[in-house]
Amino acid sequence: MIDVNVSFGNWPFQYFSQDTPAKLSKHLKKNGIDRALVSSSEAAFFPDPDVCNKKLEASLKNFKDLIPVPAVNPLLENWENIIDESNSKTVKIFPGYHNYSLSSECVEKMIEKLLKNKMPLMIQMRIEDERSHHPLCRIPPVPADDVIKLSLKYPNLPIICLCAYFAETVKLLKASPNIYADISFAETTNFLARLLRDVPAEQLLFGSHTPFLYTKAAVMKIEYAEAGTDIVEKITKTNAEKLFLN
Amino acid sequence: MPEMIIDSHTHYPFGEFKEMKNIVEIIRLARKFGISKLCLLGDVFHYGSYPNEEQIKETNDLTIELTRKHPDFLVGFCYLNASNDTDFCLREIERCVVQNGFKGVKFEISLNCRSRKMDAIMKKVTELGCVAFHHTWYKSTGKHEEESDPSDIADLAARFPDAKIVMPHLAGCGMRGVLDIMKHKNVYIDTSGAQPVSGIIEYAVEKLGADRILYGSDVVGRDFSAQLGRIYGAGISEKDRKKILGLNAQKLFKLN
Repeated sequence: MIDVNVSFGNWPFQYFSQDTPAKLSKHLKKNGIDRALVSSSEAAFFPDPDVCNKKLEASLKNFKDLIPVPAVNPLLENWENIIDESNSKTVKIFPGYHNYSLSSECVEKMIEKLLKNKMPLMIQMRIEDERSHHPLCRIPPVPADDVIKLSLKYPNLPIICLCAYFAETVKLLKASPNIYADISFAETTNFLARLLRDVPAEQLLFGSHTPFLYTKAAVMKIEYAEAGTDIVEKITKTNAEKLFLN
Repeated sequence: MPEMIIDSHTHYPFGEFKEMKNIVEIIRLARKFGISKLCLLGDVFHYGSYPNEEQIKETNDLTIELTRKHPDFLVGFCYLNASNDTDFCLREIERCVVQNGFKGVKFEISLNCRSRKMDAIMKKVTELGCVAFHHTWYKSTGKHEEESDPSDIADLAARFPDAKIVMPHLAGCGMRGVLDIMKHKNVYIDTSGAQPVSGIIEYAVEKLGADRILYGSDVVGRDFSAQLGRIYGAGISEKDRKKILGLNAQKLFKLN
């Protein structure tokens, strides 16, 4: 399986067991995850996310299964350098944590660059359930409507939404074929069968949101999914390969 | 899979989830995960925050009907709005627990559990030796007017030290909630609520002991897969996992 939603680093509100790349790699393998796209958890709060990107890249350099994804803040002057200098196939943005709207001019410029470089955009819709945020650190989620507007404006840009709730996932994926979503936050009874009634498997990706969530939860969502093996293969592997690894 | 998995926290709705109306389908899904019993806490959303007496009776009627149809699999709990007439609440407990074998009562957000209007009901629950489930959460997004948080549950537990109380939503209560109830040995916590946030099961086991933790999913709003995944994914001993998955609920609810 390929996991498109993994983080590494510290976080103010949780301690993580997978606190070294070796532990993370071993943990993911134990859960049947062969490769993972990994971002720095620290990039959400740190003033310059590229400091975190560099630290992450250095940490993961001996782990071929852990593929670093740089965080970009388009409000900062170094966003273009990060995209140009990175070997990554994608970048991740944190609009809620970095305090800008997807309709901002800076986002437009960044997207033009991504389109030129043929790089998909990953959007962290949220990191934690809003109800459980620290009361003095309440971070707004990215509005699904803003993502939809962006996707319609840039139909050639693949947009990958991470940590969207079930209803958001349906709304996003139905709205535009260039929007994709991971399964980490999408949940209801028999979630995948119900999701597939409304959205195509081609737009879904396996993401566990490790280490914020128990990896096993996402794995069991797939292990027990009432869907054919071809569908599961797309969600857990081939969709991600097409987007990020070719 | 262990021998016994009891899901101590599920809801069966009559409203929005029309496609899930068939309880047979939910039982089929549960069995696929090795679950042997589902505790039905009633549809606590259908009639809003303050269901009247008729609406409470209708909710409990449905649970009675379902538990009669599937007595080996479904375990009933009596849904109550404690702000309704106290005599009505007591009669409803009598009807559900004494006459129909329900294992406890379920309170939602209609009355904060610090209210003394709870007292007669809790006295009855204690006398019958059944269990009181009381909705709880620490929400930074704000709470409903009468919604209880874990500190309110601690107050209830102190007032009724002989009552068995289940505080649901471990991830929603968080570490603060675990600490709130730590000294009240008559309070149990269930693992339902929010996403399968890592680390909180291990924390609860360390602070409360595995004996006070029950697996609960909050199905139909949630999925058995992710909710069991948090139990199987937690770094705890197999002995503790078995307790959480079913042995504790079997003992607490006095199930076969």
